[in-house]
Amino acid sequence: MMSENMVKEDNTEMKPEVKVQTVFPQVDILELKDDFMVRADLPGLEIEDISVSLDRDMLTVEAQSDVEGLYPRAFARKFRVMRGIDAEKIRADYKDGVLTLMLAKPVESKPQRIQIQSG
Amino acid sequence: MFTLWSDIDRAIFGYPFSNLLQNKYSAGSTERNACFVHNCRMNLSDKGEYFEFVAELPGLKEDDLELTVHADRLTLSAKRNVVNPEDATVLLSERRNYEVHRSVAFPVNVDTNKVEAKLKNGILRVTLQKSAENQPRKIAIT
Repeated sequence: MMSENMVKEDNTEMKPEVKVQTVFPQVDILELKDDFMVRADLPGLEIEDISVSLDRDMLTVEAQSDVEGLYPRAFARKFRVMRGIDAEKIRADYKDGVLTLMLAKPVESKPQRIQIQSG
Repeated sequence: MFTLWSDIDRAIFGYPFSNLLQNKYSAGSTERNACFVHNCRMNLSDKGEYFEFVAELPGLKEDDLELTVHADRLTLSAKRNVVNPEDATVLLSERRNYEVHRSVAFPVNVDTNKVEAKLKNGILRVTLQKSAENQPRKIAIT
């Protein structure tokens, strides 16, 4: 007793859509003498695929990973960094699936010696 | 039977003795070489003539990995050691030292002499040729 529209083809809603899971990459943040070092686990990318941007004090790291044989996924994470960090001076290195960013500390933040004059 | 300790078991019970390991080096451990057992993302796919095994292992070098292949299974052991520069002050540390111990069983035997493994950008890719009697054969239709 199958009614005529029990099985009905309807492709109007069908779109070739790949569901991409977005994850927070695991990171380390280290403070060195002149820099902050941010290291993030971003396996299976090329350095060109990683986007790093600095908007005032908001550092954003984003990347889309599409490794053959694994499900595609996206990485995204934001960090609030010290004001005055120069985006031009951020150095990025990608090796063994780990992104390393070196953010030079602004000059003003370094301790400065003040000459005390007597008299 | 080794393959009984499958991924399903692992999902339920974890790696054997992982409790011991994790108690000793718990998440909040300040010990420098603290380790925990990590289930890395991995996939095994059947490509007809060969199997392809892909695993995500960021921050590892070739020397940190140990791969053993048997006719019916592949065993992966790895250990990551995160090294910080000496004068660094750690503000956030999420990238932990970890150990990986995984084993995958193949549905059919592979030729252990025809295995290739590559590690690039934190992705391990192993191709394992199926043994001669398990190769797919095209049937001519007459």
